Amino acid sequence: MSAWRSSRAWAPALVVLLCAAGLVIARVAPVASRAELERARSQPEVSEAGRALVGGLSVGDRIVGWDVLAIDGPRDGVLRVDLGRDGVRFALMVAAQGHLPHAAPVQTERHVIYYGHAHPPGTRLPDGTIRATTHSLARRVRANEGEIEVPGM
Amino acid sequence: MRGLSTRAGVALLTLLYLVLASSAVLDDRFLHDEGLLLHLLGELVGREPWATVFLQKARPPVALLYAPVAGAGLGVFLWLHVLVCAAAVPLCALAAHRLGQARPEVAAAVVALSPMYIGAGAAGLMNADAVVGVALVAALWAGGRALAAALVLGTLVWVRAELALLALTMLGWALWTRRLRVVLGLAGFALVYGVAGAVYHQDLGWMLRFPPALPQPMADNPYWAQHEGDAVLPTVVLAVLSISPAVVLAGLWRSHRAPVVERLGVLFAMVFVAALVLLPQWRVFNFDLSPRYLLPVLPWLALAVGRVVDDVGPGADATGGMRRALGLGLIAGLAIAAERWGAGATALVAVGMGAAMTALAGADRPLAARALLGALLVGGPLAFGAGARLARRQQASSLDAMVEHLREHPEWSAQPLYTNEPLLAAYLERGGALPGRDVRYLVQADQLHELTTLSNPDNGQRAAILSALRQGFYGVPVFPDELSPEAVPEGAVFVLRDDPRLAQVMPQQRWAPWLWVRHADVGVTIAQRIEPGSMP
Repeated sequence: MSAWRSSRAWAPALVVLLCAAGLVIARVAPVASRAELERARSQPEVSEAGRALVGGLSVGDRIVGWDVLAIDGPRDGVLRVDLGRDGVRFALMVAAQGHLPHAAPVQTERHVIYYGHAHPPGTRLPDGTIRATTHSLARRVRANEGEIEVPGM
Repeated sequence: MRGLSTRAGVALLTLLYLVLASSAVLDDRFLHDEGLLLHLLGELVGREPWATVFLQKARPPVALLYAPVAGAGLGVFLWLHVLVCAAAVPLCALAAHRLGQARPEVAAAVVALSPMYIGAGAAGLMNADAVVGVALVAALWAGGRALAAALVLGTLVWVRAELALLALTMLGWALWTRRLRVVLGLAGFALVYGVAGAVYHQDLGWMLRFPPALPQPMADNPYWAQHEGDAVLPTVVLAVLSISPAVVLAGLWRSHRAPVVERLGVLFAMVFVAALVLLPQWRVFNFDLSPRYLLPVLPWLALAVGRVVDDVGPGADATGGMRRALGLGLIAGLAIAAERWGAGATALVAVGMGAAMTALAGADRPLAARALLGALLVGGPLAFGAGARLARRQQASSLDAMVEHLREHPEWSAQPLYTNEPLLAAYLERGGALPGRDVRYLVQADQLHELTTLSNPDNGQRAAILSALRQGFYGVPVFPDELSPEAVPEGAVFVLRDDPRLAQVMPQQRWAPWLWVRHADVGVTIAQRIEPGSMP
């Protein structure tokens, strides 16, 4: 033990304790890691104007037989509506025209509507489902886009 | 080097690097567009030798190095690249030995087990070639062969321009110590290359007229509009740890214990890291915050760690207790701040292990100290690699989704695939297991701008380079002025990753009526070219 009386041993050992204290603090009072912040950012939250653009759509409503599971946005200029049924889930995304460089399956006077995020992975959605849901959402957007300006889109 | 055990240890570490990097080549874990670029540059030497060699952007020294094997395919190139990179391990050990370090295998281990270096070697990045070059410079310089070191370093500036900072460091030393031959050595490659290039370009000022990189990015490039130039502490800490977690020991390095070469190298490393963290703010020479730019500090970091390990024993001339507490405490403070900022606790673990190693060595427990240092280094590739941001899944996150969708559509196997994802063609041939696809790469406006700005239109170089690129550039290249809906065959598939630059070559208003979006996932859109108004 006498070797530990040397400051060459106990001084760095104090730094070990400092690091241990840092780890305890990290455990007791965790801050969100960047990945967690990203996940938190993805918790659904829709602005009033965003909800109004899709005709007041709410969680629990139905679009051509699909349940609305979540509405989120706009984030990065995109409003997202998650739909689900029988363990299958996918999303419709509304963006202002020109916001994304590529074409969308459906477009209105001022907006475009995409689909994706199918879950479970590898799920293939029938074309009829895509067409019916995107066009249904487009009807809601067309009815409101003349009057409603959504900040962030 | 001293003993048989040291030589055997260094040989074993070199072998370990080869195994780790080779396994990463096998599963395409680090497939990277910059690695494909180096392979392409080697191929260009075969296609248009003079035009390529006298294009500074083509990194002539490494393009020539890999030219003999580039034609044999990407796989052969990557294997050779790993082999070349492995040379840095014994070179650093040799430098450590020549600098008087007691255990050269420590420096070798820092290099061999560097998470970022393993990834960069497997990816084919020229940042890793720069490490080999810097290790050679260190070994030569430390051995008193300053002229040879200067010649190598003068050449390295044309591999990675940022190494000009190391060349300036050596230049300052040569001027201070009045070594005119070293000054000439540093200028050797530039003189020979510059004169030969003047003949080729018929222009004495060609090196300035066609520099190796754009002094400023292309105007209105949306890529830069969406990339922050300010470094934040967690990003920097994780990046530096990915070079080696043993960096936590660098705070104990004592300049008065090191020979002048080591001092200058460590000085370069500190200024280099500071410069690369700050440069992206001003968008100078297209530098962004890619951690791989930091890699050339690895040999000097390895030598500094070797010196620290030599000096942390219990002896009277070893680093004192107060110095240990201050050096490690400062790093621990940074690690705590980074953790509070969202970087996670890995930095704290690394500092804790480094401090414990130092404490054990100070308590005259050398075996336990070595075991802990070994654990810290071995933990590098296992737990500290993410900060390098080299993994395929980090830098091309939508690639797997693209391939998954293409697998869902066997009916598209005969259709040409138009893509802005530079890795798609290579990945389909290799890990993606969909070989034989006709992949056409959409050359982005800023890529064409760079090629045309940096090549000479008057002596045929620009035309020769563009002609050589037509034989293959991340697939079959489609230049922006050739891309129009009418020129694309009906049924062709567009595999597009989200990229703000895409709108410059595919304006939405122009293309919307011609594309039927089949999949629109996060970060990836897959669409088919249709006739306007014929969407099913």
